[in-house]
Amino acid sequence: MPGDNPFLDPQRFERRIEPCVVVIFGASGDLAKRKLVPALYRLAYERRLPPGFAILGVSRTPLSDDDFRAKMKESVQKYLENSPFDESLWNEFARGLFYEAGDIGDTASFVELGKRLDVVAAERNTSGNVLFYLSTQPSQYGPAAAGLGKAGLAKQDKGWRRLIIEKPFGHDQQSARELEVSLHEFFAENQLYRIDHYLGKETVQNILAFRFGNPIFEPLWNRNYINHVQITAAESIGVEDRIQYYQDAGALRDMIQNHLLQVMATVTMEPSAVFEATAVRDERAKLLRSIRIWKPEEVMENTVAGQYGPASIAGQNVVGFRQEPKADPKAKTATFAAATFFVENWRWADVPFYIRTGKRMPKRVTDIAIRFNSVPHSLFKTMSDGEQIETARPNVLVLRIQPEEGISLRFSSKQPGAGMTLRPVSMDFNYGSSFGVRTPAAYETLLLDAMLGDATLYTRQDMVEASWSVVQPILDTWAARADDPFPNYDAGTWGPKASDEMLARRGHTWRVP
Amino acid sequence: MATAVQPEKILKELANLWVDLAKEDSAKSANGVIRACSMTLLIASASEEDAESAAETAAELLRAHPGRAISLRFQTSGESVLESRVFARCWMPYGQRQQLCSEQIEISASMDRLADVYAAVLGITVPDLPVVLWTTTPSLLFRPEFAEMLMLARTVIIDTAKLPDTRLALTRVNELFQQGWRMKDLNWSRLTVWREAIAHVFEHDSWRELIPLIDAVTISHRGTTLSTDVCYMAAWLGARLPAAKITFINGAENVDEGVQSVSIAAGVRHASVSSSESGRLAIDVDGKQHKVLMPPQTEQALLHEELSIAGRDPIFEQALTGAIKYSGAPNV
Repeated sequence: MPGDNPFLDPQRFERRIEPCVVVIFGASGDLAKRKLVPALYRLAYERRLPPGFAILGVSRTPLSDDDFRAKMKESVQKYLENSPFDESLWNEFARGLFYEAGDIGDTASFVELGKRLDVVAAERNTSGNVLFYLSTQPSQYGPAAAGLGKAGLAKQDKGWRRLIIEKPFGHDQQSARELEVSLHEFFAENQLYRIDHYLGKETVQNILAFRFGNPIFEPLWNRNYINHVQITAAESIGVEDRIQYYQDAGALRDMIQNHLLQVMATVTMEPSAVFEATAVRDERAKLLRSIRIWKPEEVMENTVAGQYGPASIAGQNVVGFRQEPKADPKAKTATFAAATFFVENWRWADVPFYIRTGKRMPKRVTDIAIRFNSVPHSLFKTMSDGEQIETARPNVLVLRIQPEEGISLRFSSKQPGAGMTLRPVSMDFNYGSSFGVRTPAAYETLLLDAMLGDATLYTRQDMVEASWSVVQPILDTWAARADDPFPNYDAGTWGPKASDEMLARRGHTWRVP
Repeated sequence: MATAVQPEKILKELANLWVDLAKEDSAKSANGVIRACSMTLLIASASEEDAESAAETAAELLRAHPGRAISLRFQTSGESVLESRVFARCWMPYGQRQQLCSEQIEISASMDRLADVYAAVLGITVPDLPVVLWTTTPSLLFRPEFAEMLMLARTVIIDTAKLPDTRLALTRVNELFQQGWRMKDLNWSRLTVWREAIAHVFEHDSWRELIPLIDAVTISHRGTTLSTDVCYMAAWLGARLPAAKITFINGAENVDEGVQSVSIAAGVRHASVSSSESGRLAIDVDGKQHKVLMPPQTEQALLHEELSIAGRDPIFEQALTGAIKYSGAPNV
């Protein structure tokens, strides 16, 4: 084998991708049109794709290569974000676009796919490397992996073979294990890339840079200084066109089991020895395994399920979840979920982590608020109505993930004027405007990483299982409830009252993001 | 009209400027201005034209590299002058609600007041952050009286394409590098897209296996003498292809100066990278052609690339020390 490429210049060139074909199953679906192909085009625009590169779209609809190219051109023009569309670059990119009609349930389709891959590899000089992207229903993951395996397409004798799947990774703990068995029948764990697009967000990655690149925070990053942590992922919209999926899944499965537990792990994990996939993922997995699993009798005290009811928001009538088009009028779906978690290790023992997520909340926001302890002895008090009021407020560090990515630190400052009254002020770092350059979309980062074989930002089976272990008892307890508490919060509010009560039991309140 | 430029006065003016900006902005949007700073950028120019164009470039550049820009306008003739003014450049980033502002200080001085400029600048650089000196008039680097100004910065950026004598340019840049300055040359940054394309060729295992066997490299360029970028390219390739003989040929006259194509051969195997129709590079590997967009090569884009490298740049340093031996090489 030849050695490393001596022509690389990592300080100036982007990371290199080996020649490869990206095979997208479900190529006529929404994800491929809106996210995947625009992200790949954008990578071509940034000159990050190698000359030997091709995309082979697969779905049931019969299409010619040229039909597929025309459809993808339309999608890229429509969904490309923050980038110009360049006609001649598109023509160059489109030469590497191919299409193969096929059915995941049909073994013969995979044989045909194999033959087509050989032709494309020869034409585009792609060295036999293939990245399979299953942009399909989760129920198709097992059959697709089996089809690829039986047709010999998972074998890495002619080049690497990798498989990307999107969440959900199972509907519950049992189905997650079944999925693992079916994927592992033909693909080794290091060939599997489970996308959690939250981990691809620049600002989630920036949490690692912030924590492990700035040693001043590390001594404070533990139970001695941190009082509690609040993670909020709120959506102002309802379920839109995801009703079929969401009605079964609910907020806990949709957000907490994957994205938010991963974010929590990123905030709380120990530093790895090196910034490499295995090392970073080992630390994340270790943290996920350290989360206390609630016993059934503890679940109701420490979690809250909610479902939005109808309300008038800014003069507009908004329907409740059960009145949404195609919704079951008796649906027990939780459109809001809040939970208190504890991490059972030396660093975090007894520090509550409050996580909440929901639909139809007052605004779209995702952030992590780290509340530090109050001052040990109060110096600054003011008199109000005959009572001494403490004016120093605890420090809060907020890591904002969306919409305005950044970091802010709340601290106390003397109010100008006579007397010693303190007031909170915020020191703000705005990621987007401090660096006035475009940040790559999550799918660009994640596709690039998968082509590079870098799984740092992908979840691993042990992480998936650890997350299910945390979430499953909550799901089971909620499902066993005999009463029907829903709807229990008005659309446009921060969730049910029980969510406030959950924090109040430990003397805390939700902040308003 | 010689007046004094006092650092304290400039800093006070800056502080007032921020107060005024905050007042203006809060009247409009109640969101305040964001003061961002990651460095002090000293911009040294010896002509009005250079200074004007550099001020525009810096304004754009500060969006991605927020900092305090100090524009030093040197007048090489005329009466003794030393004056300053303070202003801010603000903009509203797309989709944002807050203004982003960077402060700029302009100091105009005649060459006889260089010592005063040095003293003034010393007092107004941003503490604890890097100081970068960009000489938009690179001939300043050859003036003995400018040597003191160099002491203000650790990093010096020049564009050797603006210097007529390649050997002299490379000699001076090498001297400064040997004396401990972190040198950056925009004519090296112009090669990034070329070097990246060549690196792509060697992503194939079969081409990496060929490295010891590559015996011929041809660099086509415009001009009868080699410009600094051609010398850099030769040095960079020469260090990686030990068996290759590097030949220079005169390319087409109707295109921009600098490298026009690079061909690499090992027996029957052949790869080339050449500038193609408007803004594209054509990459040919064993007869298979592929084109990529050339990124914009504006001064701002080149500076952005250089400022993005915060520490040492060993690959450039190697090319810089190796380039000088090619500076007198003949064309075939």
